[in-house]
Amino acid sequence: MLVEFILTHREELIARARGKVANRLAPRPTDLELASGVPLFLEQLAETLRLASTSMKLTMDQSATRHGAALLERGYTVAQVVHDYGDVCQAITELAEELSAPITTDEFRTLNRCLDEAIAGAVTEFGRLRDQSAAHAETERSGVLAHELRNRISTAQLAFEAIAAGRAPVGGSVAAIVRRSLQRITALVDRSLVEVRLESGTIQRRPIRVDRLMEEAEVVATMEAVAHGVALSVAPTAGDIEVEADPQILAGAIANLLQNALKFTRRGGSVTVRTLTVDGRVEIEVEDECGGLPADKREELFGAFQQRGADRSGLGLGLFISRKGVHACGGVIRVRDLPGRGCVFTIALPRCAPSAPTGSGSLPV
Amino acid sequence: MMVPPSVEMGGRPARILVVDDERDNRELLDLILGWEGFVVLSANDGEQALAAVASDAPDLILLDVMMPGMDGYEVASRLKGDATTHQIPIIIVTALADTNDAKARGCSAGAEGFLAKPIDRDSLLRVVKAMFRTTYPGYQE
Repeated sequence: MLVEFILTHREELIARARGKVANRLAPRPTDLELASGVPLFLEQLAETLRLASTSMKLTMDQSATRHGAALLERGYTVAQVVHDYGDVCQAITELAEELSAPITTDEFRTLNRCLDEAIAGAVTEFGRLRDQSAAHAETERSGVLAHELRNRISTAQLAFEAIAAGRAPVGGSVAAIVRRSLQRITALVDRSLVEVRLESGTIQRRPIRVDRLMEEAEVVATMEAVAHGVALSVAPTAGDIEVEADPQILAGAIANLLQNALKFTRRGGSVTVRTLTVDGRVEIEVEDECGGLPADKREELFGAFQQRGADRSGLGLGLFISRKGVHACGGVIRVRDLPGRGCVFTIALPRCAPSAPTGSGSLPV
Repeated sequence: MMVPPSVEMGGRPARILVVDDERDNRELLDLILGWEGFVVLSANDGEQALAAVASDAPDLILLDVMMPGMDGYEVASRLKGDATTHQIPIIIVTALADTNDAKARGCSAGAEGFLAKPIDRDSLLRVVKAMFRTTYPGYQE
C-alpha cells in the first residue's frame, strides 16, 4: 500500500524532497519551507491518500482546505504550494522505483489524483484567505480615514461654534484651530484622491518646471514652519530643470516630506530644501533635524500606517503613498541618516529636456 | 465678547487638568471649560500629567487614552495607585472605535467617568459638572 510505503520511508522521503526543494531555482525556497514545509506536505499527501482509499471525498476536501490555511499562515506563495507538492510527489515516485516497492499502477493514479485534489483545495483556500485579508486591510484603512476626518470636522465645528457664540475672537487662536482642521481635512481628502488615482492607474505625467513646484511648496511650508518654530531654508532652483511627472502627485510627495521634516524637527531647529541635478537625474532633498533614524526602522518608515515619532498627527499614510506616487512617475524616494542630527529624504526623478518657454503662467498643481 | 461665569469650590475656582497630545484638543477644551469658569491646566503626555498632578493637584482630570509613550490607562492606573492622588476623579476621553472595551479598561484602571471623541460641548459639560457635583459637596455653579 502506498500510504504504508510513505509512512515507512517518511524520513528518507523528507530528505529527498527537501533536497529537491533546496535545489529549486524558482520560486526560491525559504528557510521555513525547508525546515517544516516538506514534512507538512508529505503528511498532507499521506492523509489525502488514506482518505481517498476510504472514498471520503468530503473529508479529503476539508483536509486540503485546512492545509491551504496552514500554508498561508506560514507565508507560502501559490507557486511554492504547487512546486512543493510536485517535489514531494517526485521523491515518492523515485524512491518507490529504486526500492521496487509493490505499488500498483492504480495506486500511482490515486497518488496523482490526490496531488491534483490537494493542490486545488489548498490553492483555493489559500486564495480565499488572501483575498479576505486584503479586504479586511482595506476596510480597516477606510475606517481610520473616516475616523480621522470625523475628529477633524468635530474639532472645526467646536471651534466655529465658540466663535459664532462670541466666546472667542474671530482672528484669534480658536480661528487658527478652524484653519488647521480645514487644512488637515483637505490634505486627507487630497491624499485619498491621489491614492485612488494610483490604484486605478490614472496618473497623468507631463513635463513640470521644478522651480515653480518648489516655489509653491515653499509658500505652504513657510506658514507651517512658523507654527512649528522651525527655520525653513529653500535653496533657489534653476529655471531650466524639468521632470516628467504627475504634478499633483509630485507636489503632494514634496509637501509630505516637508510636513514630516517640520513635524519632527525640534523647535528652534532648521529644515533645508535643495534641488540638485546628478547624472541625468533631478534630486529634491529635504533635510531635517529629527535627531537621526534607528537603522532598523528606515524601510519601515515607508510602510502603510507607520508613524515616525511621538507626534501622531496625521494618518501615517504619507510616506507610503508618496513612495508609490513617485515610483509611478518613474522615480524613487530614499532616506539617508545623519546620525545624531537628522535625516535627508530625497525624491529622485529622471531629468527631461526643458520644454519651450511658456511665459510666467501659474504652477499646474 | 461676553464675560465667562465662574464655578467655585469652597471659595476658590474649580481646577481641571486636560491631558491630550493634540494641541487643538487641549486648546478647545481650555476654551469650553474656561468659558464655564473652570481653571484649566494642560499636559501633552502622560509624564507631564503625572508631574503636573504631583506639583499642583487639580480637582478633576480629563485624560486622553491614545498618547505616545505612556497611554491614558497607565496614567490613570498610576494616579489611582498613589495614596496622595487616588481621590482625584478621572474622566477617560477616547476616540477608540470600541467604546465598550475602552470603558472596561478605563474602569479597571480606576477612572470614574468616560467621554467618547469626537467631543460635543453639551456632553462634555454635562459629564464634567456631574462629576464635580457627585465628588465635591462644596462645588457651586
